[in-house]
Amino acid sequence: MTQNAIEASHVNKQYSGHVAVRDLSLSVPTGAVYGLLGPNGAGKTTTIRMVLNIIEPDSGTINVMGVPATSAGISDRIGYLPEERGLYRKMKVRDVLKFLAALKGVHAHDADRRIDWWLDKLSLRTDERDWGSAKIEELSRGMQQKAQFIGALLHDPDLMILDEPFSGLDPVNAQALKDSVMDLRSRGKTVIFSTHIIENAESMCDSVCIIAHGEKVLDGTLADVKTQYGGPPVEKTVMVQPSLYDIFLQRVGATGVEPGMRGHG
Amino acid sequence: MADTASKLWAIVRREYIERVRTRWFMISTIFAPLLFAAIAFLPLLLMTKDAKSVAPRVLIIDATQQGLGKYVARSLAVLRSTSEDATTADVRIVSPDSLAHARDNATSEVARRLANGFVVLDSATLRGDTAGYAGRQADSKSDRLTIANSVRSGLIALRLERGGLSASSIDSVVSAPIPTIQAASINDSGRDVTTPAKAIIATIVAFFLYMSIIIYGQNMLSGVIEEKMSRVSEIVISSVKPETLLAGKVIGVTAVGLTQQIVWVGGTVLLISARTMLFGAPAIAKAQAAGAAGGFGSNDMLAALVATPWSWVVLVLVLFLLGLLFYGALYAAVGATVGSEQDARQAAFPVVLLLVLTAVLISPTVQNPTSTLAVTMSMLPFSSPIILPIRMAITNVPTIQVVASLAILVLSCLGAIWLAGRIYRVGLLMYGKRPTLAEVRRWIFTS
Repeated sequence: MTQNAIEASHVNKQYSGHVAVRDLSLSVPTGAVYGLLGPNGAGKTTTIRMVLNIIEPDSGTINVMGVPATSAGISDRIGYLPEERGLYRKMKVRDVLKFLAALKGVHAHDADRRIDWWLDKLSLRTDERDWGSAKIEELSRGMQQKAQFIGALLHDPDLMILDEPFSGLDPVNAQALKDSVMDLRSRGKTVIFSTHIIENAESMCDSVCIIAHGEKVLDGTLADVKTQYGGPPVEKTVMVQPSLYDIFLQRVGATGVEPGMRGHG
Repeated sequence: MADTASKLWAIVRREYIERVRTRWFMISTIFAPLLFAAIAFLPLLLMTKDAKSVAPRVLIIDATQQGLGKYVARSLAVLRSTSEDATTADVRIVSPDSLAHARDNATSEVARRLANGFVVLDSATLRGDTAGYAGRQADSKSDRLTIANSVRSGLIALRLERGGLSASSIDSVVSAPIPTIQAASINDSGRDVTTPAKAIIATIVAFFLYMSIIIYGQNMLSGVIEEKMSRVSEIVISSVKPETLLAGKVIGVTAVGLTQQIVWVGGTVLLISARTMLFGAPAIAKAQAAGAAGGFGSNDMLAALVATPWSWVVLVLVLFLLGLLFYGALYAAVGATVGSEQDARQAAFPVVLLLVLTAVLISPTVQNPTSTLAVTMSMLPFSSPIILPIRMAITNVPTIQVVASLAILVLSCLGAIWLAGRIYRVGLLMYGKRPTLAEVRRWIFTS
């Protein structure tokens, strides 16, 4: 049996008088895309930080890829994109990425090669411009987010944790990131992402966990959750007006111009 | 798996390279040696200028009718220590009636830069009351003192002549060389070797140390706040422990400061070594001679800089390194507790206060380096990096005090880094309102 990428058991975390996470237990299957869902302030970020060993739980245990989250070296197998994003504004993109890679133990030579590959893949290096040699502050917000995403991936982690990865991205960039996440899954990597946009979770996740007020509400595979909590399938009849596309197809057809129409000029 | 050392190195390298690349670093690094050299070379520059523009001779208008002028000229030559002056001293013997006319002529010559100035000797001079001096540097105290001494020697020689002493004996009295005084002051603890030049150098070095620690401390503070507010620190501490990030930052910033200090020392040494090339050997020799005679220009600063022992320079660098580690850790701890630059100014106040208190004590330490206050301050870790070098520059500090001061500072650095690490660990992830002192205490003492 394949071990779970993450096993959390009865985890509690409290900040001065405020309970952030209460008795949370969850299992993230290896190779799955796992959605951590919940409203703002539900405890998603605190849970993620405990998995990353940035903060310690008050009680309970967290194992990551078979070893305690506090184990030395385990962080080199995890990639992390935090919710609030930012990089060293005065540094060049490539220098920042090399720095982040070095923190994960990637040698400079390998880092350069991987940075080139990712810059190409996420359109930050084109025939017109190589954004790798630009300063972070020269990049648009979406570009900065992509650069940070690359920084989280350069060491080819087995577990990728993305905290609200699609917030603030335009549809094109959001799709590029979604494609990259699905690529990771196809290569057997585990991806956890927290979101409060349920549509994203539904279209991408194999399993989900819903948290509210620091407590788990439910978890499981998407199919199980739907079966267990969604009740029997419901047939819906929806009355809608034909879309503009339908009208176009109906009037113009898929092949050509309507007879009698004249071009301009 | 990358080990902690290589990750620490990555942080140190980033901190170092990003800071050294800035324009501010380049400018300030080049500026300081030039300033030091300018202070040391100022007398040389003035002297070089004098040599070119003003004739180095003094006219002596002798209206005494007793031959005082020739003795004054001889004495002046001795006091100025150069044979060149002796030959160019021009004695003009005039009658009391034509003194006004001679004075007008001399004034005109000085105005046309044919002479540097003129001395007027008359009956009042013979009585030992007054002698006149007019010239381009008439307001120079040392010039006036030299003239007064020459006139006095001249009067002594004249009286010896009247007493029947032979001309050769008189000449041997007037031309007796002026010994160089090796000053040694005595303070409460015994013999001292303070010189004004040493005190000036110690003050300047202390000022530079103070400025560097303030600047790099503030630099550290804004670096931590930038990382915290841009949330970069959260990415970094998902890869390394907060203590490693803190250590990397403190070491990186300290290395930048140390680099600058080494360039400053090296640049100053190079410029001083190149002084012969820059000014020419005659100007240097003249400056040294003038300095030795305490006469028309002082070369003391340059001499004191050249005589600065390397052991002191190394100790200053070590103390600076430790001081920057100490204050760097404190500033980083402050940075971790705040959420904006405005908050930082308030929160950093206690740290700044320690530095300002030290700066206030620079002058009293220079004046009395063996006082209880100076000794105490050279032991306390927040002031010893600045106060101890001053004391060591101008007095003999007992070895036991130096060792004790260094030991206290090293232990305090370790303590400050531990303390900062505890605060840093929690503070970096705390956004929003500033923590209370009680909360910070809890961060430090709760595991």
